[in-house]
Amino acid sequence: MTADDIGAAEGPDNVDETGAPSGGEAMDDNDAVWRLLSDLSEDDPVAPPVGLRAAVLAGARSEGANRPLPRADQLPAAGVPYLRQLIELSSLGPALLARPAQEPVLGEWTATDVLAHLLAVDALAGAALGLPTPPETGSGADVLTRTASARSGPAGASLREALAVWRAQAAAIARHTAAVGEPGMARQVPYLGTVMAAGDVLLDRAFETWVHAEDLRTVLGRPALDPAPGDVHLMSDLGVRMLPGAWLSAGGDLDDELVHLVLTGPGGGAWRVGPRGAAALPDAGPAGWRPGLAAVVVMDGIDFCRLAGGRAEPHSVPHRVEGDRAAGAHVLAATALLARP
Amino acid sequence: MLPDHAEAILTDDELVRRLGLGDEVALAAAYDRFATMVHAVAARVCGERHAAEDVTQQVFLQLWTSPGTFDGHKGSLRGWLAVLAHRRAVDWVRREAVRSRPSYARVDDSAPSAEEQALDATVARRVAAAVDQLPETYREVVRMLYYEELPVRVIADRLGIPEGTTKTRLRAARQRLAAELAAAGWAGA
Repeated sequence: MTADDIGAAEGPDNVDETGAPSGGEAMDDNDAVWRLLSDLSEDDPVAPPVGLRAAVLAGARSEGANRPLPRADQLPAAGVPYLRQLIELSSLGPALLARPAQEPVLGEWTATDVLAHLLAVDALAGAALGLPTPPETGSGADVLTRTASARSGPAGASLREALAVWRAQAAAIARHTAAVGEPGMARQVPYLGTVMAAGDVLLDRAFETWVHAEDLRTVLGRPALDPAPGDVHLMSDLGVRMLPGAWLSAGGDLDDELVHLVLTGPGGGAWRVGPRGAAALPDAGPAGWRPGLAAVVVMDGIDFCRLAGGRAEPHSVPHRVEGDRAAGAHVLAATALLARP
Repeated sequence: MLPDHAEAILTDDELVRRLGLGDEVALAAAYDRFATMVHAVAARVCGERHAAEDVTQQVFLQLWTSPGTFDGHKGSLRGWLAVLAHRRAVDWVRREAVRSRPSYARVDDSAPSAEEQALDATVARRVAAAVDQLPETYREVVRMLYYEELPVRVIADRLGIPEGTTKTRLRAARQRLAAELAAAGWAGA
């Protein structure tokens, strides 16, 4: 055998369907050699060290951070709102970096804390979807523990780092969503103590990202930026579907009350809400109280989202109740219960 | 709805399609499926633990950045990664050889010298020598499977022995081979 023989046969380009070219009797066939080596390795594997997997995945995330984001038309419907909020929040980065690092923007939280919080909860969503969760995204299985962990790590030490880590992870979530497509959205995954469809997890992340982007826009003196109407509808729909559970888990009793919730404005709609579930009404046309309904609650869709996000109070959010006022109040109170830290 | 651990049953083409879209879950699945093989090939060729880790990282990073260079019509992803691991490991051995030469002898690294090319030959020659030392009953099954690429069923027919016996001989042959290579100072064997 000559060195030239080896060099010529060495590349993956030369691999055929069977994994090696057909060889004669001569034992100088390089592809046969690597196939044999591969099998020997399988028989007596030298296991890679445990940390190597994390290193490979960290390298991939770091490399992927420089790639363009997927386009909205590459994503399933439930993934689009998250992509849009990712882009909107990213666009605030330069203005945030120009402000004093210690300036409180939400209670005692600085912008860095808000980003560390978002990346911590996104990491819980990412883990539910099967994505790696590097150490800088915090540790712990609940929102508060993980947020505290992320804030005390490298992302909590600098806004630039927090933005970078958050964005790299958010981009990874968006790319994974594009890769699994519509069929992956129905997959049931564990998330924040419950089990949800992957698409709903993404809507939840879009919603919280919007809520905190609004916090940051307020500090920056920028006007509120409502999500696109289609996004408002999808996020509202998730909120409405969570109402019965929120109400009952807080010890509430709906007594078989059936309420119609009508959300007005772009992206609005109408839903039937009862103690055993909620569903969109096929016709969102003029709704009014009728016998059999406890109440009809009418409010603006963005106000509903702000109430669910803890940025409005049930007693002060503009709304109208037809029928039983107490039943209407139940719906508002349940909506407020959806708010998380 | 996809089943749990859906990535564990993805085909090569589906894995590569998702890698092309930058899906880290697909990369994690590929790693879980192939890392032991990739690392073991690298360890065997390099004979050095850190080098094997570096090569493994390089191989998976190449899969991540250029999944489109894999062509499912030409072979399996497993085979492609094995070739890549072997190739990167041989690259490492070459570089080490250059580094270990006296500095006055260093030449342009961009083109492999005759000496470096000879290292490729060394890798294959070691294996070939070990195969040659096998007892004939083992050597013939190794030759037929790896060099003539005959299916186990055909090998069994040709030798007039049951398939089970053929597989047992192959297993035993590989064990002997691994022992021979280890005795020759081949790391990991």
